[in-house]
Amino acid sequence: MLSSMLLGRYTPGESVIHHLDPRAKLISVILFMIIVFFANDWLGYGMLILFVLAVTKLAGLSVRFLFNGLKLVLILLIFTFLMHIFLTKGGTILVEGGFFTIESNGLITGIYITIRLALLVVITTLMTLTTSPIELTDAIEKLCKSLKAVKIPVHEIAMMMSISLRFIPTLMDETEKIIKAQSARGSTFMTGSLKSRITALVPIFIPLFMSAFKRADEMAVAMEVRGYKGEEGRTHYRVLNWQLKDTIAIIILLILGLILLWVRQ
Amino acid sequence: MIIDFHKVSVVYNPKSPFEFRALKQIETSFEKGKFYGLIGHTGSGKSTLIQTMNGLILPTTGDLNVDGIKLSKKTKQKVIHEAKMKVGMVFQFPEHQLFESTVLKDVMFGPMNMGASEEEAREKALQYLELLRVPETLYERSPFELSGGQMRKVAIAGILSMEPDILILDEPTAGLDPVSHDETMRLFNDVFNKIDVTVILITHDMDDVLEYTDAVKVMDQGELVREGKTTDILTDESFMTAYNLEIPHIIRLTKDLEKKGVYLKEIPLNTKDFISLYKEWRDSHA
Repeated sequence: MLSSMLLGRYTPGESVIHHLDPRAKLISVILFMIIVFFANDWLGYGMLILFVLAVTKLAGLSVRFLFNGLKLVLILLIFTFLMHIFLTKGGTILVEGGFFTIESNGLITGIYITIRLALLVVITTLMTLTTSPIELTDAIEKLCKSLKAVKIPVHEIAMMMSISLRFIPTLMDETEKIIKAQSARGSTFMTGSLKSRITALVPIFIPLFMSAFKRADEMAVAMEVRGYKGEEGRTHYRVLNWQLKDTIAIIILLILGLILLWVRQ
Repeated sequence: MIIDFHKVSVVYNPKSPFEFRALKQIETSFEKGKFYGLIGHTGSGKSTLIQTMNGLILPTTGDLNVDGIKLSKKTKQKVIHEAKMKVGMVFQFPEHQLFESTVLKDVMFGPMNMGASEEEAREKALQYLELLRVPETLYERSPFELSGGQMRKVAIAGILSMEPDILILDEPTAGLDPVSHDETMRLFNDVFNKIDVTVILITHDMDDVLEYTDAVKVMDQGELVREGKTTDILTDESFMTAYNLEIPHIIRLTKDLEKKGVYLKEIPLNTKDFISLYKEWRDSHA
């Protein structure tokens, strides 16, 4: 049930994309997020879609796999699309109902915005699918280093991030186990009224919080007894290594951005 | 037959890089009123197999019949709920499922879900808390204040109070100290003797399997590789080592003694058994 969710999950692999420096991937994703907004016609969006498909292929993942894992996001996309179709006005009137009208501008922006959102979700998912959480936080820590000058505890924030990312799958597993145990005791959260479904969540959340707090406490103690005291004097086990291919990745994105600016209407 | 498996296969995350065939064409059955052991290496599919029995996992292909309820891919939630009421399941670390404000209320949760009135639920809860020898002084305490062993007993009482026809135990003694371990296993055996129930025990402790179970099913890589009488399988040294399973200590000892010329009349099932059988042998050879 929860195990098919792909948001924030990592699939180990040996593809080119997997082997890029996490910093390069992070910068590329940020660049892509900006570039997405350059597109304002079919040609631009077409190129962006092709680009994302190419990256998917390079990462050794199938489109169907991504689609299945992102089904939940689909609800959000459909919602956005409907909002635009009904609320954005302008252009020629396509459908006239009693209290609503669908106008051509609404339809077109609806499609554009939905594609834009989908592209953003897919590209960030591609990053997390090909980058282990540890690599990702390392990259964030390295990229944000300069913020330390203004007294922002970059290392501590990165550590907190990596711990929370590390525990997402653990908590997911734990949730699934507790759901199973409680439903084996006859708890029903799939059927019944809304109220009974909400009260059925209590037997799941209480044990989940109990074990999460216990785990956090044990973790804190384990870190302390091993002498953790923040960044002071720490070295990294994995040293990030910026290579030519990473520079190339960034250049490709910059070129994509330039082309999009050029074809933009 | 209380449970019948018919060509049951389970595939996790089909058609994705995480695809995993957990069960392959399982064809077996469980007899009513017997104590079964389900053994096999980690990842052999034992947990998946037991979870198909109360509909927590539905077969990808094939079907199974649990005391008259047919479970297959297309089974409706309502029918699955009925299966859950028939099959009580004690998961690994069952104390993780406690959530109520008092011990008594937590044990009542199961019966209440089955539609029992508060009165009936309380009665059943009291009955099974007593059966598991949970001290009465704890009934109104928060379950989170108890010791690990007590918590586990309360959680087990919570499942027994639903009075299932089939009781499934998934490594019920994992993480317990040796004393609590023996106590818990003996309690399960008492329950088995006192109420008419079919028990399926998953464990890595072959001594427990030998002592308590009538029959054993052995799993390996999602397949059922052997089933039969407990003593037949656990004494088969070459089979056990081939599947990375340990021979029970008592059996090992008996076999070592045989090499020295000591032949016991039958296979001892526990230490006490062994002592009396050995005494018998000594007396006959004196």
